[in-house]
Amino acid sequence: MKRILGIAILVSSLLLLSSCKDDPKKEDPTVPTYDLQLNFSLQKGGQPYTMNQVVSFDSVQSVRFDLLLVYLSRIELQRSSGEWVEIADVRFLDFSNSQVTLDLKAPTGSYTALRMGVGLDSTQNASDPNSFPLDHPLSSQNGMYWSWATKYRFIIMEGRANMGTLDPNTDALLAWHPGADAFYRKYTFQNSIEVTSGANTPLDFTIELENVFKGSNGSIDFINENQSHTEPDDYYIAEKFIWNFGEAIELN
Amino acid sequence: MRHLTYIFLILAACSNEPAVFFPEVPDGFPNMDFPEDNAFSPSRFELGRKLFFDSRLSADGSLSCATCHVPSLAFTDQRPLARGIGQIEGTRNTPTLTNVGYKRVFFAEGGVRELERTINPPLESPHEMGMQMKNLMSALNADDQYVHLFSMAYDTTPSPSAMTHALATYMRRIVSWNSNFDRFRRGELPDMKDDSERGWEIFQKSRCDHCHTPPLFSDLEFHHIPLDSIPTDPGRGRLTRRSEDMGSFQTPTLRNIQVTGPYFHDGREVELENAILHPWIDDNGNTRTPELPQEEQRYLVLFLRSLTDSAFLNSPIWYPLQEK
Repeated sequence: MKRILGIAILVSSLLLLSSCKDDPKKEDPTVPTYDLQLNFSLQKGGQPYTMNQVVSFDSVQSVRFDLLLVYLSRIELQRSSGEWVEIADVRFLDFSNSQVTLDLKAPTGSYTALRMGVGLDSTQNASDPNSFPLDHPLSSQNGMYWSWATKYRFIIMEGRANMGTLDPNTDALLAWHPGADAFYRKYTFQNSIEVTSGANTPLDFTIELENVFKGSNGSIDFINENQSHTEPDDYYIAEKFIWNFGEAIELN
Repeated sequence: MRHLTYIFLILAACSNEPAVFFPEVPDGFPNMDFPEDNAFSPSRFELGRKLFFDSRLSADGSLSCATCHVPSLAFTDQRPLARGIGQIEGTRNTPTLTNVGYKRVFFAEGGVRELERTINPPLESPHEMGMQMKNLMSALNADDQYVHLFSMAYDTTPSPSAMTHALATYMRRIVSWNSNFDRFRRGELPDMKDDSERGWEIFQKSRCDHCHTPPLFSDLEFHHIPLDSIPTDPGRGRLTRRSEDMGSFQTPTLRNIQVTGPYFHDGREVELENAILHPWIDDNGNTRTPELPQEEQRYLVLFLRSLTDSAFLNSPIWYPLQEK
């Protein structure tokens, strides 16, 4: 009996140690925190993109994006020791004004990298939106909740396009709504980041739209792949869209 | 008779009505599971009932839950497809809420596992009630009667969580177990009228009870009914993305089926007499077509009609005082 107990304690200890290895530490409330500002803006072909601006993509002459909503989660900073410190659990980005600023707090110190997930991790994705205040990112008020599946959309990107080859007088709807546990990925941005007293440390990110639609996970055909709601027959579109989107985020 | 323990002896607030309690569960029926944070209480039922009939829950004030889930129609609407605000036609038939509290998963896909989380889809969908939660909470918090009812029921001001819990409480109370068939089985009726007893035998002989299993007349599982050669609605497959789930739907209860037509997920069949003749797929994956003589078909329909619970359909307890 003692032997079994001993083995059980040993296994539990090993599991505990291994699970701690890459887990980010939560903020220590006794350590003072200072401002860290994450600025996100859109680009098309290296030029700033403003929502509702009409641009062209290859053979599609007129494309206009009018809605972009994004969840970022588990935003973490890495100390030189390799330890990750979580500074935000989830943030909701609404690009109605073409750019978004996240004002975060981080413990003072020197960091070597920032890491964040595009979308929600499986725990967050299983949340009940009614359990949050209406101003919380995961509240249903943001219109990101897929209530029929009790999951969230990770990104909503919508717009219109004139396909040219189809009907030149009719704009086609663009709507990509990816959201699934399997889509969740974290992206790491190596950079020297100093968080110090009295200073507001800005980090500027751009999202290059060219890379969203022509990324390493495949191109998105504006004519035949203009919509995806992560349904069985368009799941593959949502998958390449969101992974391209994650890779299109660059830290300047 | 088994007794549920968390009921009785409270009078409903703000009215002279007797409070509505959760009834005793008859023999042969399972007990219903209640979430730890949402045990049944008369005040929660009363709040849920008022919300269920309140058209302020829709964006344009034209629809309440009861618009599509009409109590006297076993909480259906007799339309082939549901209609949302602006008379927008949906893609599926309004499901009955009869005995909905017994279900383990909800909606055609089965993607929702708690009754409390079934409220958001119809409430917020632009094709159904199209409501913004923020606007709804503003309206409820500005209404003194609601503020009082939420306080009584959940000791809180109106909130999304308390609202969905109250509506779930109302829906769990929608239990039907007093049809002629039930009363006959319990010995309260000497016989089943109109030869429906023969229909019950045919129902079993034809293995209808394999999926439409008593006492709920549903096994609560998903099955594929080959209505189309290629399913037009993926059903559960929308959630699981498995090929074998494409076109599968949870077995609907047959209770009160006399008033829940048109039938099937898209309301394609108006007559019950025709609905019973649709093919199904057996355990070996073979498509089977009912081969019943006309006389047996008639008995089968008579049996299905004996599952009508008139007391349930005509009960005044579903309606708020001003709606009666």
